[in-house]
Amino acid sequence: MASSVPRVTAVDAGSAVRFTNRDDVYHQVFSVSPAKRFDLGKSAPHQASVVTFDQPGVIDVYDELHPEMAAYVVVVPHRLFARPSRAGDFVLPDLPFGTYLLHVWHPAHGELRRPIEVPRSGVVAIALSY
Amino acid sequence: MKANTALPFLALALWAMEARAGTIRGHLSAPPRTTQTAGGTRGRER
Repeated sequence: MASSVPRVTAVDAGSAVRFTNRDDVYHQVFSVSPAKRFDLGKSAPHQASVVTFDQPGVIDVYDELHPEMAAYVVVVPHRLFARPSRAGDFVLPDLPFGTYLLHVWHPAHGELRRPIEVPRSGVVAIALSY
Repeated sequence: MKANTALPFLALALWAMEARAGTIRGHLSAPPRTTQTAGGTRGRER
């Protein structure tokens, strides 16, 4: 079965994302999400298209020709984001001290929010769980 | 002359203060997926 890799992509607003068909069959990638509507049309094997994401939000990306396929582009309004490893670990380095509101988004479990105090230096360790 | 030689050190100290930053190290755990419930309606919403 075909799948979208990576399933979740996080970028800052204004970033361009390349969608490459690494399959041996045609695909047609589109989204009807309010933050970005697009339709790349039929894409031949190994063909690539670029989409620029200007507005923050979660963009659900589907394939017109393969309804079982789904991917998600999470567009954030700044560069302070991380994508956890497969084991769930993540690091947000070089943060100016202050109070932050950490947003977590997961395609199956939704959103979590956690206020965090970042010191002038050092590490804050947190554990998040759905 | 003394003031001139002190300037680079002052600049370095200021840079060190600016460079101070914290780090968040986290771990996220989520239950394993059982059924596909993600992300809204499949297909086009015409």
